[in-house]
Amino acid sequence: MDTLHVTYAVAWSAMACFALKLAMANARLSRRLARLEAQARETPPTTEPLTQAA
Amino acid sequence: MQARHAVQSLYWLIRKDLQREMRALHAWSSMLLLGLVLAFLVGSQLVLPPEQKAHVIGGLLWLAIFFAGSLACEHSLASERDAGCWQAFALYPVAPSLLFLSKVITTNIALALLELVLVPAFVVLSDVPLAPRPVPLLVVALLGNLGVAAIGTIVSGLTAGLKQRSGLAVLLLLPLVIPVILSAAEATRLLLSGPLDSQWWTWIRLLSVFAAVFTVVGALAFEYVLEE
Amino acid sequence: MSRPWPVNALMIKDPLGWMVFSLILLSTWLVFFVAPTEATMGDVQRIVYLHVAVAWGGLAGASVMGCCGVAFLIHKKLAWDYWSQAAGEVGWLCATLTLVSGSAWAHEAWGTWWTWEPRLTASLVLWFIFAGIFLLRSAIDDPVRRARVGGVLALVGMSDIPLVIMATRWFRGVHPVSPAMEPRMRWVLLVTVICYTALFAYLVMRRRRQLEGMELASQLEASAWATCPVPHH
Repeated sequence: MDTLHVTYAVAWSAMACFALKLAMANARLSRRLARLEAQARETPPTTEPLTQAA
Repeated sequence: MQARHAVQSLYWLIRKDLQREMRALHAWSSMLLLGLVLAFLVGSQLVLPPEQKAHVIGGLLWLAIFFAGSLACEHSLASERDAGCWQAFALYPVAPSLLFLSKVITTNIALALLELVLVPAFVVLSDVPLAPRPVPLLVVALLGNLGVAAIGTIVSGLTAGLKQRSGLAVLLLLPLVIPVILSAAEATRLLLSGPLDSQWWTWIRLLSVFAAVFTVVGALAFEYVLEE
Repeated sequence: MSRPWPVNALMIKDPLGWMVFSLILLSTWLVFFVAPTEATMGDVQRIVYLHVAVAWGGLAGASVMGCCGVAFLIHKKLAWDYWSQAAGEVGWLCATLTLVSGSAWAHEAWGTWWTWEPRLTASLVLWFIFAGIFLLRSAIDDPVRRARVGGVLALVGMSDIPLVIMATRWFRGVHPVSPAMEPRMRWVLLVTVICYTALFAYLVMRRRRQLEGMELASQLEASAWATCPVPHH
């Protein structure tokens, strides 16, 4: 292990961490969106405005 | 007519700030005290031969001015928010650039006051001859103050109303004013150590460019700082 | 809300990502096996390829962040802020790596990890400005206000950078500006910079799309709450 290889290893792992974090957040987000979509399908939006319902 | 209205509003805006400060001693008193503490610390730690002292004192003086002055900078717009006057201030019927200018001038007055205390304190406590060349020192101080006040006003407006504002304001301010601190410190060092040559003028030029750029950028961007 | 968020979110399935990854492999092969070994410093000089690529990435990220921040202030569309934030994040990563790789190189070339030299000082200040902007952004909840604050700060920060460079350059200087290189080295350097730029651009694009999707999700959630048929007491 010398300076050259350590430097490249540090740089690549930093970039990989960034990409990994991005990918994990993406997976979470697509699950969240899918859940929201399913919810919207189950409960169709109420036709009357909220003010009247209350 | 337009110009007269502008000057009059500027006068009243600044007068209001000064009056509030005189009545309640919000920030300026703590700024002056912090400056004195810093001057005392520097003076007590600086045991060096005179020519070496003259070499480092410019940087230390400007660091002290920055740290104490950041209290006044941070306060300049945050005070409006704290007092619940932000909307009234933003609705004041003049251009946003004039509002910006009024705050910059108030902060400039605060910094000038700070320097009036700090420079004698440095002369007395660390025994450096800052006094023999008052006019060049005044030029450096005026330009440096203008740059710091312009950036300080923008940063103060952006951080006003946040919970962690005082820490954030200093953190944002310091990297942004590094060119001012560097060139003011260097100009102060040069004017202590010999005749004013072209090198000194180079630093003065940089200080003026900095002050001009940030006064203009601030005046342009202030509209967005004020928006709620 | 009319446009559905593209759910090819798993980056492993993204062909563009694999293309970018193979570009990085290509540049690695070039850097370690094709580029000639430098005469005085030996193999360690190969750090320069990475260093130039990330330094360029940092500056480009800062400029894109500044321009998109100003575009947000003018057009008031949050889409500009997503670009600005994504470019800023990748730029900050690059700025960090610039400091790390530059330090490592300086340790071998000059025998010291750090000197107060113009370009070093300027890149450190750039890093601090990035850090300050992100700290302030993270303290604000309202997306529009966050975008506005980010835009103003990006504008101020970007006009500061040339002044920092001027100030520190007049201070003192030893950093190599653009040293004469053997043609093969120059060529490898160019390809490496292009490959890494592709990676950074890809990361910015993915991050921007994610920010957009997150805003969409919170809008959907808000409207779901508004139409939720729960009786309140």
